[in-house]
Amino acid sequence: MLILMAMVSCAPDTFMLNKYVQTPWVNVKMLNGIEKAEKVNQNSFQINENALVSMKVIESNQFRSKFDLKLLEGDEISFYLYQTEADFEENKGLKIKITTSNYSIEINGKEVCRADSIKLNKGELHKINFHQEANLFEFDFDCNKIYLEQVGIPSTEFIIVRTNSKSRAILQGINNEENYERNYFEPEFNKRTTFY
Amino acid sequence: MKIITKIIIFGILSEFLISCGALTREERDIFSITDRDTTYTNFVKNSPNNMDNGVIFPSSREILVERNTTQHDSEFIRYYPDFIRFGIFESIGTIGGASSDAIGTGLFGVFPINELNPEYSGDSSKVFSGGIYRLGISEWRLRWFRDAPNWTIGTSFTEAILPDANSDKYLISFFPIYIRKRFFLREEIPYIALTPAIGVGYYPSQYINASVSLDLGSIGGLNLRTYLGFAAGYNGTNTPQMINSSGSNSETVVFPYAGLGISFLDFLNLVPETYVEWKDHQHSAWEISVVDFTLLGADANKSIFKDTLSGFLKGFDLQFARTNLAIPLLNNRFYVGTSLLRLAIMGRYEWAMGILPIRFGYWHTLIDDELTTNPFMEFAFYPSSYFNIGAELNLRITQSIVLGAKLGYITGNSDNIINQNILKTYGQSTDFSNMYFGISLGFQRIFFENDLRYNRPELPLKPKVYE
Repeated sequence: MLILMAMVSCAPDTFMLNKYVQTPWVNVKMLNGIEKAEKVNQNSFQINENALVSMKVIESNQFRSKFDLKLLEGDEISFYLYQTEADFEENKGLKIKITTSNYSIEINGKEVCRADSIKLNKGELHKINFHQEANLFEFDFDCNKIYLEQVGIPSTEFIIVRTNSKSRAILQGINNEENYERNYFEPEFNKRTTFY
Repeated sequence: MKIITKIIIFGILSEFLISCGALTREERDIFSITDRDTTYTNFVKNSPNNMDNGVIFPSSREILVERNTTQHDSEFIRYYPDFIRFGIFESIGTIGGASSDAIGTGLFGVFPINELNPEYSGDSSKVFSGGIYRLGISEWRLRWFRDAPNWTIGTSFTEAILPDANSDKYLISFFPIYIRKRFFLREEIPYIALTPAIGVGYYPSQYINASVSLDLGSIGGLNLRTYLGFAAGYNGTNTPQMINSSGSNSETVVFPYAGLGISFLDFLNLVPETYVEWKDHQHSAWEISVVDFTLLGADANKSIFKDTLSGFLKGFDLQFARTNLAIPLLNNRFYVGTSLLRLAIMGRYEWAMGILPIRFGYWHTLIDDELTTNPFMEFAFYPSSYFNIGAELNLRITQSIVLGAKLGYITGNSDNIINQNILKTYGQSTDFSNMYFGISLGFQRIFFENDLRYNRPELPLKPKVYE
């Protein structure tokens, strides 16, 4: 019976990250095939060509997500935030596409930013930081900071990653720090400020 | 400890274990919308005289900055079926055992034998010599061979493989493990699939059972199956089958078989259906019932409950595994249905038993999501023969409990029913014709217009497939 239960619980399209650290668990799910991602260690995974992979930061939708990105092959990787794994649509939420020549940001399918100040270098580690705080979204790439205010979309637990048919990458050292809004009934929140 | 006690404890413990296996998968997403609102309020304490002003004197203006953050959290929970197959009862009438000792449970193995004598050791005049019975069947997706499609692993609460009437050869196991692979020939309801299967039973009998079946279903929980198979096993000294045996201490059983099977309340999902929410699931039946019990008042002579001529309460009506399938014609409200068993007892001498009775009716919703009525007529041909015409009123109490009222007329004959000794004990059944009225309580689910797949053109919903 135990063998039966063990075999039933097997789900080759899913694995869990950060199970043994004091940050929210990350449930990684391959949405378009079981060979699209591989767990490398407790906080890292490799995403293969033509993959659509969701990372669910369980029970947390206000977080600072930090990881290192290394492009192994190809020229492009995209991140989708303010999205859900169920009924995922490319043209909803916030999309950050980083290529070897530039980057672009789209909100609900509308491009709001494109520049070549950020680009991927194949084989090099890039530090990435997504910071969801209330309506403010902050995206850091290495030493570059990009602020997007008033995203205006309900925040979700998901970061969804897509590669094109040539690209393969490693996301390592994934760390999600929860980021709460303070309760405005707390006394220090309504303190009186005097300007001189 | 007695072997029977061991088996009961094992069964109960196993039931607890298997209940851990979920039939519903829950997905829960949380969302937050955060609004920030900052209010600036200017205060100027303007004292009634001249004030010094300038660089070294503070301004009299004070600004109160109030920053409010409002967060709207929401949670969205979706429920999905989390099984490939879930069934209450499956029965297969088999050919392949000793034809001289045939059990005689007939087609599908569900028709009761005409003999309840403990000394009964079979009959040579029966076509179906044995049967295979499964109770409480479950199958889940087995994701092996690089997620190869339509593999399942499953079990059932109990499985009994009975080659013939010789009880030494009964292969019985709690929670046998089965692995099946379905090759679907039709992927629309009712599905048609070719299903090779291999399973092992381990307690109290030890056996292996390999089979290939052609399956039709499920629709409203009904399935028809044809089987070709081979079972081989061993009943040891301590198995219940051998304890009461007058022959040898153990028995080795080899049983090639062909069979025809039927199953009730047995629901099959394709893998994509397990990614479609329960609320969008396809329903083909107006009613699916596990058990329905009715206390009846009838114009019978004597009550079954007490030996008196007076009193309104005369009998009861008990139905197991009733399904009423909608016929997709006209307004989809006509239905055809059957039950595994119906016991209609109008009084002490007026009663009938129907196995797989055929029922036609018309389903009408009086109050949406609450109350339905359905006039019907029903025929049974074995072991009793009867014709029943009537109407039911069904009030949904919960999704699985229904309170009802029944009014009808039944005419029939039970003279050929099981074992004449029973008839002698409880009264010889004769031809009877009775009006009846009853109040019923059912562990069942009734459906309404919006539930039926024929009334929902958007179905079947398919889960998104990402490239």
